[in-house]
Amino acid sequence: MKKLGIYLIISLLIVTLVKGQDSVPVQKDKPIRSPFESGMLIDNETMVIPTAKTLELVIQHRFGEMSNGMEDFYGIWAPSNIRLGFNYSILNTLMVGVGTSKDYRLQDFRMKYNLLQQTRSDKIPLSITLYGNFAIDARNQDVFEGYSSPYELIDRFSYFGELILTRKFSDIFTLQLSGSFSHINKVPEGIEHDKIGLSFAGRFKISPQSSILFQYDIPLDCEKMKENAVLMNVKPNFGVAWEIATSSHAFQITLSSAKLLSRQYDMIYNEYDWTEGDIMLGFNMTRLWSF
Amino acid sequence: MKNKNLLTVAVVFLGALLLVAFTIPQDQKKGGPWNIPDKYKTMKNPYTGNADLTNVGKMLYAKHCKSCHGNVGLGDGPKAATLATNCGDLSSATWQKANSDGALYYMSIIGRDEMPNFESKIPEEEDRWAVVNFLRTLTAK
Repeated sequence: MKKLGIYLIISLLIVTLVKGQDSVPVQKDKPIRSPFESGMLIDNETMVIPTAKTLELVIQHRFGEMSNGMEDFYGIWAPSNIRLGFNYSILNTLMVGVGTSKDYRLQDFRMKYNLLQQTRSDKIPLSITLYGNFAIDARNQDVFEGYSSPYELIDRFSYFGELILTRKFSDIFTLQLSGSFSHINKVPEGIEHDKIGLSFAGRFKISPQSSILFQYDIPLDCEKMKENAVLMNVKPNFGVAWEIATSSHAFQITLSSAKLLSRQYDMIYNEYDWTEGDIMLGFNMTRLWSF
Repeated sequence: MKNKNLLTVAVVFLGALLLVAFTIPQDQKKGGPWNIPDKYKTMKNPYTGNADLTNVGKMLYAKHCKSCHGNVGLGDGPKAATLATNCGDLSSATWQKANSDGALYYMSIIGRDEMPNFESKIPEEEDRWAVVNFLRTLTAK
């Protein structure tokens, strides 16, 4: 009897989440309305692409670790990282972008494509998005010297590819799951060139303009991909954020355990352990211009 | 010595005047009559009374309109004071009666001057009419 009660509660919860969304009778099946407010979710990408011919300015900032307390004012006075980028929507389903960030002096080029979009009738229950970027480490050449192989331009290159599955369960709750592959051409000894990763991210909308976001990126430990002795144990990236979205802006105040502002660098180099309290305050801002 | 004092007083006075000039709020101008094409004036709202769009309209209003027009359309949003044109009161019976749904559509989506164009931000017809429907709920209490 007790078990039956639990099953009933769980079933009711699922039905509430699934049926709560757009129950509008529509003549034509259309893509679901705003599963997220922005193309960014803390450090992750979402399936959101602004409408065609829209230019998006993106500013991402991460302060230092909060664990030092008042010594460096919870990381605000500590060394920080910043990324400035521009994205442009060529189509409603295709976006390209460029950006530059301070750590590793990364110059990145990105592309996002919505392969399939969840529809209001639920005929298509999921959105499928492809995201990829290519980055160039623009630090001085001497950083790449001293390795067993001589310096080549391609030592500066790194790549990231991701398949994102998104489901908007209701106007309140959206969840995305993604699988990714990261590669950095030249890495110090004891660090892997390649990494397969899994990410979970989602949104709880708490008011028409505010949402609580969460993410968890897990770099997977694949025995077959290991090269020689791996000395560095990459840490998962946990993050939560408060998002405020208006007509042209999205603003996210973040707490996360990675600060490289590059998906492949976070997957391969992240050494911050959130279970040890390595959390950093930060923010993301976007501004849209339509043409 | 006397001239020096006079000069100091004059400089202080002019400085104060300059500061006051910056602090006195400038009056906002009232928006003139809208030149709405006939096509929009007579446009029928295909979603009148569609209760399923209530939440959609509310969400879109909160995202795109609230910062200037305020929570209930009184024109008292946080950005309203920075505009050269007064937002007006969308909840007033006079304004509500004077404008057809099509006119509201034109004013809300096409815009003019400081009232932005929302055609690309609200690309779907259904959503645009949802905003119009929501504006109709902003009646003075």
